[in-house]
Amino acid sequence: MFKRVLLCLPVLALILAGCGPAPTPEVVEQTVEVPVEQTVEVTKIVEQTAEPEEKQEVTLAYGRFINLSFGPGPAPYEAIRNAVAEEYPNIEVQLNITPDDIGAWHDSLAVWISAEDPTVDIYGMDTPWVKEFGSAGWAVPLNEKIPEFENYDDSGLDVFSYEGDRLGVPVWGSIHGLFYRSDLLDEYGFEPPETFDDLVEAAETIMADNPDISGYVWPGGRNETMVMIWAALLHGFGGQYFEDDGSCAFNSEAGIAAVQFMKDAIDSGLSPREVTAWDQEAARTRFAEGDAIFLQHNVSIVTWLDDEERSGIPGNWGLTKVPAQPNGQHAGVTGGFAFSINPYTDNMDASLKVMRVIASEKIQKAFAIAWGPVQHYQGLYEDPEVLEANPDVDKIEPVLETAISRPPSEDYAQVSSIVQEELHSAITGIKPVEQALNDACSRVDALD
Amino acid sequence: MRLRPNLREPAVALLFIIPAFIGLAVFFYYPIGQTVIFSLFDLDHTTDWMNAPFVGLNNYADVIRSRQFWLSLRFTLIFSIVSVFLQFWIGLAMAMATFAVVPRLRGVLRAIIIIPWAIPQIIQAAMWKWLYNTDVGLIGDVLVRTGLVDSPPLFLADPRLAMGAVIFAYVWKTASVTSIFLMGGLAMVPDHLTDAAKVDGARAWMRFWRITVPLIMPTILVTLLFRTRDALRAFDIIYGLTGGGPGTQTEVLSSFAYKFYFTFVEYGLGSAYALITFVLVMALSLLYLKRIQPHLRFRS
Repeated sequence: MFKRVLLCLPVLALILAGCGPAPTPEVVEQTVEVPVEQTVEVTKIVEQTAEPEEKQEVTLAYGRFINLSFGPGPAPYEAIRNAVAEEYPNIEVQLNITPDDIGAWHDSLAVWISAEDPTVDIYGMDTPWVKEFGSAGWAVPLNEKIPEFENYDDSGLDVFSYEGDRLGVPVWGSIHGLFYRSDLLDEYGFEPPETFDDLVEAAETIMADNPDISGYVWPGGRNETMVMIWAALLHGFGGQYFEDDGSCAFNSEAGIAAVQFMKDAIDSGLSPREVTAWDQEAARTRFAEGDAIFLQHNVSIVTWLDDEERSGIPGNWGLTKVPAQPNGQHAGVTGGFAFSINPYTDNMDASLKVMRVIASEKIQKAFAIAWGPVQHYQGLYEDPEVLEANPDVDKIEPVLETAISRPPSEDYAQVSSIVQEELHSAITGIKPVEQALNDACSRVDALD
Repeated sequence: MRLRPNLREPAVALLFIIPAFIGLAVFFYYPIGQTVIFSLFDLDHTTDWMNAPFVGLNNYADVIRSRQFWLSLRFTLIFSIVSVFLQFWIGLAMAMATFAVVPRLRGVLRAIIIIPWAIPQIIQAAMWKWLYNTDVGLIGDVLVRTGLVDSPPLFLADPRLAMGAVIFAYVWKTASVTSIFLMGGLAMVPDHLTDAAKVDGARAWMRFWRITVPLIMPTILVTLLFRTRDALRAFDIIYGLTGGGPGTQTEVLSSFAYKFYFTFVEYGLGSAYALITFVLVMALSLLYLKRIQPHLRFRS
């Protein structure tokens, strides 16, 4: 019995040895002096084991879109994974998919990071969260850590900066503009509208002959995109977010006129009454199917509006600045995402390496090809491959100069929520416009 | 040889209780304790209450002073009263129907009744969102095709319809649970009593009020207790359907607690909201329990 056990031991040792990570054998030649009767110099081959580099996992938190490509290149996640594997074979990039809804995405990150949870090493940050995350210390300052920043336009980096700290590597940007049906405007002899009055005139004339078509469509459901639509109108009617002393100015005369325009558009039939339930997708679907004259939307759809498989209006659309009244300012609200590092990560070194890969020209180009404009890496839009994937990029240029941000606040989540609630109350007729805006301002001013 | 542990009855009882107690402590008492502590601190974007300013009952005062709180309390109460009323009567009708059909169909009918209960609330919210959709929703389309309306109603964005739409979707699910509760009570009603009443010439309506209802009263009260408690805490289906809109018309207490906790990352205020909801539910439950006690005649 004892013999049997003894026989089994080496087998067991072999099995156990096979279970661990196999050390990489390295054959080296060593000269060893062996004392014998005669000193003889012999060469002995010994095996030395070199410690393999420790495998590290870096987890990215981003929406499922990162697994999708809307252009002729691979999806950004695939591009990042491959580039990291090529440059740092010991680092594996994993994906933690965040909810589609941007609010729920924010909430997931807020819970993780406020609980100092290291599950996620790098996460996608939206532009309006920068102040909130920056003041809470929820993103690692990257200023000196990413040398590639010197190849970026400052404007792109500034959007993701808080008190001088660069908090994110921007990967994609967007801005709102006004899409129009160029064929219909040409047919009826209208130019792209400069003012909201022009827009109403053109829409009403065209709708008179085409009763089934919607005039002006926009996402008016109680969500973040409605805030972006409102922000452009507020500036377009000559308003601003805050007074010089920092108090809320949503309820100024111009502010009331802007929201009254939104409500009147619905009441008069210029905008379909369904807009109060719409998100961005519902609004753009109506336009892309050829059932609307004007659409206020993020410019990213320029990449597929000419694609006959996805669009009913290829070649029959145009993009211009969001209109402004004579006393107002053309305003396109910006959006966009950057990657930031969770300060509670357990893999700071590896995360920084991955961030440098993301900041490289190679990955920025991959984003430009897969997702379209806008990226901030200098010279990217001179690259023939990028230009081929973004044939309509020149249409965006006039809109870019109208860029404005959403209300800058460390309590942006609360400000946005208040605007959504009160604005939606106004456009659905629950409250008179002026009362809703007064309520919004008193609630915003009451925030710490 | 049999092992005979030398334990007396109280010790054995304690052994059986310990696992359940650990479960309750970890998943129930600890979170409640933490919520109480959080509610006393100004926790803005942090859970580190040891280093946060102590604000005493200020968070509760902020909640009570907030107009949004009273609006959400109003909707929560309307939602609870209307939905519990509807789900009780629909549930009772469904439960009675299972006893009225031939025994062969009884199982099939009960299986059909149980289906809505088996679907998770958030999935139901997505399902109803499609049904209510103005562009492609089935309900609006049916209403237009039958000529009842000219264009599909804005079920979730029209202030006059949103509250009803949310309650309808909630009742669709919860009537089945109510029905399951009440089936248990109805099964206890002895046939000979109703048969005797029939012989005496009592009509169906009379038999229902004079025999069935008194006999199932303990079940009815327990059912109402559970259903009211759940309605007061309803969140998933409302949040999934309207997100609290239009405006703030369908904001419930739970959605406010969620928003302060997860969206605004104000753990102190969020905890105060959650605890006030908890206290309200507890108070109503105790009220019910007090009301139920005299009716529990079948206790051993």
